[in-house]
Amino acid sequence: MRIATSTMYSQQAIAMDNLEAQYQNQGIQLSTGKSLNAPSDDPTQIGEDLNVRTSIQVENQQTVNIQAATAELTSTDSALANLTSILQSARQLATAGANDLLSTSERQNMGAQVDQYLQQSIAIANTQYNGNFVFAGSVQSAAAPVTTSGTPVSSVAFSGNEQPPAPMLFNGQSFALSPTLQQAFNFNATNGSPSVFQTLITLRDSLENGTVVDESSQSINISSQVIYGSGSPAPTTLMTTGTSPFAVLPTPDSSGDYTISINNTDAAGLQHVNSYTFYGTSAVDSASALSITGAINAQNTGPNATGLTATFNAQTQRFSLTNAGGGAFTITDEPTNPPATPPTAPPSNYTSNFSSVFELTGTASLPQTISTQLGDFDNVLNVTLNGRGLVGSRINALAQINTQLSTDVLDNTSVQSGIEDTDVATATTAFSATQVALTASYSTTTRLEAKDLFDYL
Amino acid sequence: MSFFSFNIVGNALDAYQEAQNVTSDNIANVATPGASRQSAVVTQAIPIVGSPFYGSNTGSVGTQGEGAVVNQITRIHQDSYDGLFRGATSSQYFYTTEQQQLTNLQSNFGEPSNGVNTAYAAFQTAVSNVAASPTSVAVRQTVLTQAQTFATALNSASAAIYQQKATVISQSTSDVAEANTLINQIASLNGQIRSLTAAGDSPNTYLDQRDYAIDQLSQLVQTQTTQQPNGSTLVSVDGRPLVNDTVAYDLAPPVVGTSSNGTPTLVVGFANDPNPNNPNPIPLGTGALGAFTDVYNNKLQPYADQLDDFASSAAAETNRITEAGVDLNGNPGAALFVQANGTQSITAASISVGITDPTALPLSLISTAAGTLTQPMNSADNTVSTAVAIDGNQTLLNPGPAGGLTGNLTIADDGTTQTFAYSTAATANTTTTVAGVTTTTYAADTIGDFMTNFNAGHYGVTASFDTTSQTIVFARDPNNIDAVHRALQGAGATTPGFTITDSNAPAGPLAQGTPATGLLQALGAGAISGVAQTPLNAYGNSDNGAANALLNLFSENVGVGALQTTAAAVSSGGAGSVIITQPAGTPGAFSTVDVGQELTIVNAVTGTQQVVPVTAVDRTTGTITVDASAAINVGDAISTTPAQTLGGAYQSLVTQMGLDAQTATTGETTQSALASSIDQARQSVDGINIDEETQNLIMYQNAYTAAAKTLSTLNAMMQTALGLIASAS
Repeated sequence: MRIATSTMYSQQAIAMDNLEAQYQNQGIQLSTGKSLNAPSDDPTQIGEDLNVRTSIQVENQQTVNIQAATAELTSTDSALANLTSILQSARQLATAGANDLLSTSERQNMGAQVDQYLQQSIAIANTQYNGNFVFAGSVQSAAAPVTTSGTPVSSVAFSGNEQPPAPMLFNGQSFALSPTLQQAFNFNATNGSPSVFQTLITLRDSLENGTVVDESSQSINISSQVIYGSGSPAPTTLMTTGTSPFAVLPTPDSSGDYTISINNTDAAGLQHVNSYTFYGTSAVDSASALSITGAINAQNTGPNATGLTATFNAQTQRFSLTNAGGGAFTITDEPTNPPATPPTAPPSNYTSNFSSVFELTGTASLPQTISTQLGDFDNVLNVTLNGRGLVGSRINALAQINTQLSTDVLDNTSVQSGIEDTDVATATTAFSATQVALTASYSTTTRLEAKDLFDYL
Repeated sequence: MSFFSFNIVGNALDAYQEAQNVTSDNIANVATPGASRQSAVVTQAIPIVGSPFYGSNTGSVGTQGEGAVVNQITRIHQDSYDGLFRGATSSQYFYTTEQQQLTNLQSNFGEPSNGVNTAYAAFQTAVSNVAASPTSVAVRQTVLTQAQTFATALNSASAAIYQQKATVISQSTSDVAEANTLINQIASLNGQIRSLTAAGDSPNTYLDQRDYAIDQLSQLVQTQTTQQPNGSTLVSVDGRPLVNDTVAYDLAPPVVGTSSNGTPTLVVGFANDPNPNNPNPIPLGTGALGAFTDVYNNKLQPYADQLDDFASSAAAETNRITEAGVDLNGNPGAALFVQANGTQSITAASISVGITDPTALPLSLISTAAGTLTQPMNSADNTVSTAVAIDGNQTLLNPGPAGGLTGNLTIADDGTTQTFAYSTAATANTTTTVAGVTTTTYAADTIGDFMTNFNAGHYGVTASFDTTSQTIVFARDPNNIDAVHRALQGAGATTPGFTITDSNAPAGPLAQGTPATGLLQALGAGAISGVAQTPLNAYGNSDNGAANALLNLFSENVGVGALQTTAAAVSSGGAGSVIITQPAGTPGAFSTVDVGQELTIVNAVTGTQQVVPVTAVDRTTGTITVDASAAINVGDAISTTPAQTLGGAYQSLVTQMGLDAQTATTGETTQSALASSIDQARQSVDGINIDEETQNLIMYQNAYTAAAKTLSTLNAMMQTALGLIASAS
């Protein structure tokens, strides 16, 4: 084939240009370590590459977030561990205080110690982490959320809320980092049970003031039902058969009356014995319904006043008899058939299961009162431990999420590397081959273009 | 006897001198682009017929040769290769130009290591950080900083496209000037060739120059040529003459006109177009000019549109959330992204951050959980089960009455009100149509059913149940809105607060056990009925709801480009091709819509949705044409159909850029090789070979030498003859 002289030069130039472009491209890949330096290098993969880069960046931040969250939760757990210790110590004091042999001054000293525990628990409730009050919910301010009133402290107020921030995690899951004050301290419990603060206040008051209370050891309603007590516009719940929400229904004596006797010692040490029929077959006794309201009114008013105050907590569904002046008292139930020898206090017909209906001990004294509070301590301890459990489960969940996150980051990094990174061995080989070809091209060109027939004229 | 030989040898010397001149010319033009080799055709001179010498000696009349003459100087050029070469060259320069422009743009975009995607990822990272630390001012500042970095990256990307457009216009203007020079040159050469051809001459050099000029013109536009009988060449593009004999039809400098749908379009027309500002475009085909118009109209403009769509959607979706939020100071949130220069809509060029104070970053959402108006809905020491009936449920503080409750909850936010009709006696949703109005009554027999149906209504508020506090929680949720609500948002402001009003007004706090008078009361939320939930009464400054909503946004499919509006007018009441007009006072409402995009149309009365493809867009009149399967009515809500995440939309743009650049690179490589191959074949016929010319040089030199020596011998003979005459006298 005939070759024009210009063709010879242009073909060599084109070949060298192509080799030089190839050389440069391979050099860039080796020096950057990247085979994907521009979208046109691999358009089918650039979209996924951008997506993976974003994921890695966000996931790295999430890892930092999880570490910070874990540190905060660990700090919270430490605070709740302190609280648990305080409550256990207070409970031990309660156990010790329920000793008949203690003097008033000894109990008062215990009360002072309980007051210290109360102050510490309030301080724990105002724990801060990174400038935020841990149990304040979504309301943060310079002032501590848990405040007190009275000297000694008679009540505790809370200016926060039950809505702690819940950051979203990389898997779309979000949960609150800190337990709420309700979850950790049983504050404003929906079942009305006392909070950590109230439990300590009650114990302190009992130790210092000697108030005697006989309260229902548990709620007296059937679960999912309500006993509507005093003040409810709805008909007060009757203590009768049928669909009554009372867990235990009272049974009358053989006369059909519901009568109890209370033997009370007042602050002066004088003994009072009073018995009354809070519902009976006579016209007077049947004027008010056989209801908890009737039982309370009968206790608190009229000629039946025994010096005790009866109350019914509609929230907790518990009945209580309180001797504010101090002093032990007993409640006497009698079986249907009266005893052959009546007791010193008349009359002879008694309700057979008053104490059972209202879950009372029937024998109230200061030691017994304090012992009863052990149940409240057990409850708040349970709540606090549940709060710690919540914290612990979140720490565990975060650890699992972090593991999953680490795996994701590793996977994404591997994907990114697979897309972007140069196969150094292959690229080096290709680079060397191109280098050789380019050198040969330079040499060939100079030799090829240096000679023509004119040189031989 | 005569010395004819002198004539004969003289002819030979002339002929070989001429041939040597042709050879010299070839050698001189060995490197001249477009030069074809020429060949001196040496033939025998016309003989003398009836020479008397022959007749007297041979007895017959014969012919006497006159030696050799150069009969013709032939231009060796294969015309059939010209068309092939010009076509391949035109394609080569088309792809080369595209590759240069797109590679440059790609470089300025900086992907994947340093571009918009990196800035967008950093913004997402900052939001993730602040969701975990919403009260930290330093972390909040980082969000603002990264948001501005993101906005700046978009500005830069937009500027890169703008600059590339300017480069395209500048370079294409230069190319048009060059094309016009070539067109006029060809016309002039046509004249010269025609004149010389008519005179019987062989205008080889002018033919070479004309062919070369057409070759160069082919680099710029896709030419077609037709040889005319008079020797001129008709040069045209897409059938339109550029050169006709000696008449040149100049091209006009490229202008950015407006296409029929209102899209800016780079156009090259003729200089004599009656409308120079928006001339009738010449279909340039391939060539560099063709590439410039293709790059501008089919690459840069769509890239700009896509980038603007991404920016406007990112801004619109983010702002919808921040404007529904509350900042650290309890103030209603503002838009995070704004337009920098007061233009009508946020674009990639104009996007900026509108919040500078980190405490003003709205990260909280209004929630009844942060307020005090809701109360635990459980009675006594009971625990509420969301699966148990509301009516007669003793576990509720105020259960529903035995006959059930029916009524409406009116939810107001963003200046819109929507209604949730409920019945606590219904276990399933029921739909009734009265006077053409369809109403659904939702089952609220249990708390669970109520929450499910309420949240499915997408009112901008989400209901949930907090088991610990036993309370219902109504929280502002900017992600939980429907198309109608979004369309109404588009015309008005997004607000952080909300109001839920029960048509069965609560009768004040009721004692335990008293039946509730309305659904809200049964849920323990009677006190919020009709009371606006605002930053004053339902706000926690460390709430991170809006931050979480932003995190949700990054992984949600959204409509890109952002569109939420209503139909102001429609062309027909039935299905089929429907022209929709944007509402008055909302210029540019359809500015982000492109042909082929899918839109969601929601009937404002029935709430029925349909997804329709856009078949035409007229930005001049602000109308779009869609292919609808059901009737579209005035007032129907129109929004972009969510199809991909924001990040996915940008990644699609970058992928397209990469594909276009790679296509150009591949095309350039292929067409370069093809053009080179065709040129090699063409040059094998036309091209000058130094070695060949050297051989000719030697041959003509030897022939000339022989003729000269012959002349010398003849001269000696003549001298001898003259000497004889002299001695005789």
